[in-house]
Amino acid sequence: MKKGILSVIVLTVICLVVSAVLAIINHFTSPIIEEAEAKEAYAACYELIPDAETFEEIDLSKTSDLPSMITNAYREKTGKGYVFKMSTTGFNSGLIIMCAISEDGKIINTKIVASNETPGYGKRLEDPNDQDAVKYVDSYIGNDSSLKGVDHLSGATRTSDAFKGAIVAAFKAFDLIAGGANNE
Amino acid sequence: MNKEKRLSILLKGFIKENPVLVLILGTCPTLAMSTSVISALAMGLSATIVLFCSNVVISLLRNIIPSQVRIPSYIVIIAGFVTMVQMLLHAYLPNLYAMLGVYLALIVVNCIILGRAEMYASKNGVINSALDGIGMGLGFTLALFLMATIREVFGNGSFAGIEIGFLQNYKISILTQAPGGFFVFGCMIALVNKITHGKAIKKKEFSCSGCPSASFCHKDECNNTLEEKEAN
Repeated sequence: MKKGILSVIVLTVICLVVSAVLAIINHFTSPIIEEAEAKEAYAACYELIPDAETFEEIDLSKTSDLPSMITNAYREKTGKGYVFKMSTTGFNSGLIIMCAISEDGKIINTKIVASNETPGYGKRLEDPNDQDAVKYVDSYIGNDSSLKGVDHLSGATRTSDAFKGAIVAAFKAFDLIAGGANNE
Repeated sequence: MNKEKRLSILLKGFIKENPVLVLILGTCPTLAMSTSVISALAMGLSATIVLFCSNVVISLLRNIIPSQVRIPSYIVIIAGFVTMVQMLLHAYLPNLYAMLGVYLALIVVNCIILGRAEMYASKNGVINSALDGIGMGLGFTLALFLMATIREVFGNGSFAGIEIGFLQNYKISILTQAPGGFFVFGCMIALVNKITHGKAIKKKEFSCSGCPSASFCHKDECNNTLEEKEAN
């Protein structure tokens, strides 16, 4: 009986000490992480819409039925468009994609922000020297929500399908947030 | 304990008791993270830090932690250190953090770390446990680095992300895939056996005595080990 109580006490104390140490480290690292993530997201936004002036982040909690892969959304304040950030799974998890959509519902640009895809296969989508991959990614630009003429990239089928799925989700979010304003 | 013995504790993890190539522990992160040299080194060094810290703390607490709750206690301590490494990498080396992805968190269930805690740190002093942690961690890193070098150079025609010109047309892409990983892994185990002439530690020398499931396992050797333990 005594042994049992001692075991519970020791395990509880270990858990409390570990939690306290983690809380202290989190106190110092979380502001740095948040700042870096915001900086990175805004930098990617300017990369997608180069002539943008300022962006504001949209509060997604106010929008219901949003596709689960949408993690962030930004609006260009002067009306040049919206940028959506999606987190999905290609061949591996952790495929982060950003997509800029103009006010009239056309894709301005897309970007893979992070991925754990296989080099030589899914990773090709990020390779600027791979002509087929560049052609595939470019086929999205200027397209509307129907994504006409966009298929998948052979040799990177799962990654390109996930990429397409993320863009479809971005259009759904665009319809919900911007009301699909001028999207016919 | 003399210096030579301490040196042997440190060095045994490199070849004689290499956690990956001899003890066959930590196979999952080894296969997953050995597609590129940078990610292999990052994973190896992260695991080394966790292994060193957890070995030291577990060794310090070895007389305080009751045996009934030793495994949950070890897991909590290891998970604590892994989360610390995760937070620090996320804050100060975000690229590396992104590269390691989910496998960084999975260090918690890396058999090498729990295995060394159970087999070594819980039975030995702090300095020896620390040396064991560093040795095993660097052994893990070395095995990962060698595997990643073979897989990245021949599979992707690059080393640490730097393209090797003449290999670009002769890539063996399957080496970057899981089957290629198993193939390289098997070849390296065979090579270590060849180098050590089979003198590396044999499985029966380390298996049952350190196994947390020995009391439930009905294999003869487990029962013998338990009886020996009880007799001592």
